[in-house]
Amino acid sequence: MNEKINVRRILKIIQNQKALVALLVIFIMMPFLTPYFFTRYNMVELLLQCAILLIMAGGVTFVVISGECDLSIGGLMCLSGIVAIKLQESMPLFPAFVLAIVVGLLVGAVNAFLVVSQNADGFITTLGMGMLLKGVSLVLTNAHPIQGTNVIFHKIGTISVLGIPLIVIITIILLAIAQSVMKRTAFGRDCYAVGGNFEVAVYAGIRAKRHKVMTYLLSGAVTALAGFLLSARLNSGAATYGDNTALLINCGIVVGGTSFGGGIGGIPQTILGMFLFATLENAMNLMNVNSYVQQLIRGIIIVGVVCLDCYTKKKKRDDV
Amino acid sequence: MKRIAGGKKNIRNLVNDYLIIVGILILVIYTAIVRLEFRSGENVINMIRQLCPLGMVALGMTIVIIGGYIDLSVAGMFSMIGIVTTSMLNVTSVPVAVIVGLLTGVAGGALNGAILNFCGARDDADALFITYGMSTVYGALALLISNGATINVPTNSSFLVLGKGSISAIPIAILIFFAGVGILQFIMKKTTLGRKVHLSGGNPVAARLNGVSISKSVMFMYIMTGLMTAIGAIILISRVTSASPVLGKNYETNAIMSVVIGGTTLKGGHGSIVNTVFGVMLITIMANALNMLGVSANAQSAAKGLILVAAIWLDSRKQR
Repeated sequence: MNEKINVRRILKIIQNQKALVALLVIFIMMPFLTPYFFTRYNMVELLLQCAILLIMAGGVTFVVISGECDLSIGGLMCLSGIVAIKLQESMPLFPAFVLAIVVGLLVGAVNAFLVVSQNADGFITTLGMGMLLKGVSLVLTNAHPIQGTNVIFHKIGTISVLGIPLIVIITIILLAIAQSVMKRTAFGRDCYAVGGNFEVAVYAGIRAKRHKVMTYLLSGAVTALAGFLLSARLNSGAATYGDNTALLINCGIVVGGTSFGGGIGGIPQTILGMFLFATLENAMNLMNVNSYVQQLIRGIIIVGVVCLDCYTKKKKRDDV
Repeated sequence: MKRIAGGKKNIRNLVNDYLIIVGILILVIYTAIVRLEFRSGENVINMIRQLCPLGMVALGMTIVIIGGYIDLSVAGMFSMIGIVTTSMLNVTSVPVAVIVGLLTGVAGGALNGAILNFCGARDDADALFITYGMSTVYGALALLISNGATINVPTNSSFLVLGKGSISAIPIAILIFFAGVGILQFIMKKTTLGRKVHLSGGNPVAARLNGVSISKSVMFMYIMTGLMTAIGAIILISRVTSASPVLGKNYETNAIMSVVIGGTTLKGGHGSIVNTVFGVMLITIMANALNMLGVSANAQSAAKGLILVAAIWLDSRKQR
């Protein structure tokens, strides 16, 4: 009897923490499959890959928990990097950085206007916005990657402090701030309230629309920051860097346990989900998986993850 | 007083409905004046031929959008069907290859519908993510089957008649397109099946309470989209006589754009096949006009993104 309950409890934990379980499985399996996985170089590379994605994911988590969605991040990431590189030719680095962030805020504001104030469907609107931004990036770069000209710019992306890359340190600080905002401030609590039940939140006196606008602005600003850091690390900008990013990040957030319905989830879950996706990509690259097969696996995982999320929602509906 | 307010509202609705259409028409008239070759009979026939593949995909997309869902998998599916059909043309007879191509589309659509029904996706957000994932899967399959290479249609094949032939100066492709328009318009307006799709898109709860099986509507919608995508892909490869594994790129965006500009709302329940015909015509003529004016491909993709976002915005204003 007691054992049976234990088994059920363990199963439930596995069900709730599927990202963590999958991550552990990969980490245990990989050393047997390739000796390169647990090398210092690969671990730093994995952290760097993750860091840029995590900065964006942290911002989008606020949007998703508030019950909306931001698919424009892929295009915005490219655009802000390109803007930063284009502007550093004619001005010092700091103003270029500020203007790149302003671009992010502007895109966030337009998204917020369309989705919150005009009641357009968040998914399709931000998807269209992502396409528009990619088009703008293509025009700005003439469809070729462009090189950075500022030495400090490339330094920011590649410098290490005490053996840890600066980008990773920035990411850890930002995620710590995001976690404390989510858990300890009124803004964070409003996310759950607005995403859980919009009407109730309005009756409770939360300015729900204003809150959603803020989350879009936040997501736009941190995505622009991530784009700036990515371009700094690669010392280049191109319109094609962000083709899969939006989908990858939104699905990574859902894998962690945040639901598209809103109201559930948090920053730690997002970190787990993104780590899982980045590790999977890293593992496939190390094992020399054909890039077409990689695309196939990525697609199947995305469908599987969203399916599982829907299926849980359906179960909940049926139970009620 | 009331009448004046009503009048203002009417004017606003009129502006919302026709703003993009008028904009495109101005562009077309301008092009016709400055570029004489735009009005030549040859170019008109050319445009009619270009219209058919996108038109077919857009017809299928209209049904899905009226049903309250969305299908982003048409891009990947289009590529996959193109590759499968050309591969088959190289080894078997023309009818077998065409039938295999059509069945690939039906199977792909049925798979989409089955996945959505299995996980109980009940809004376009879930459908959007799942079909985007499926697009990645189908695209990967196209790349795997062709090994990333473009496959040519055998020369002198009777298959080429579909895309290049004409009956007394009318291209065969446009005849197929209008046959599709007629059949689908009949199904959507005159049969219970079509009314069920309208009802499940307009009000799913009422539809279910009235005994309409939403699962069956979903299956019908997605199989129809798959079939229409297959016909579109077959017509296109017959015209261009080869299939690349990324043949269907951007078809999903262009199809959604055609549907929304035609006047079918993204919320589902309203709209018609005939509206989409006008939407497709406008998009095709616009693309041709921009080419004639020498606008670069990059600028065109930015312009299309802008029009898509504007169309979604105006669509959301219409619903209030």
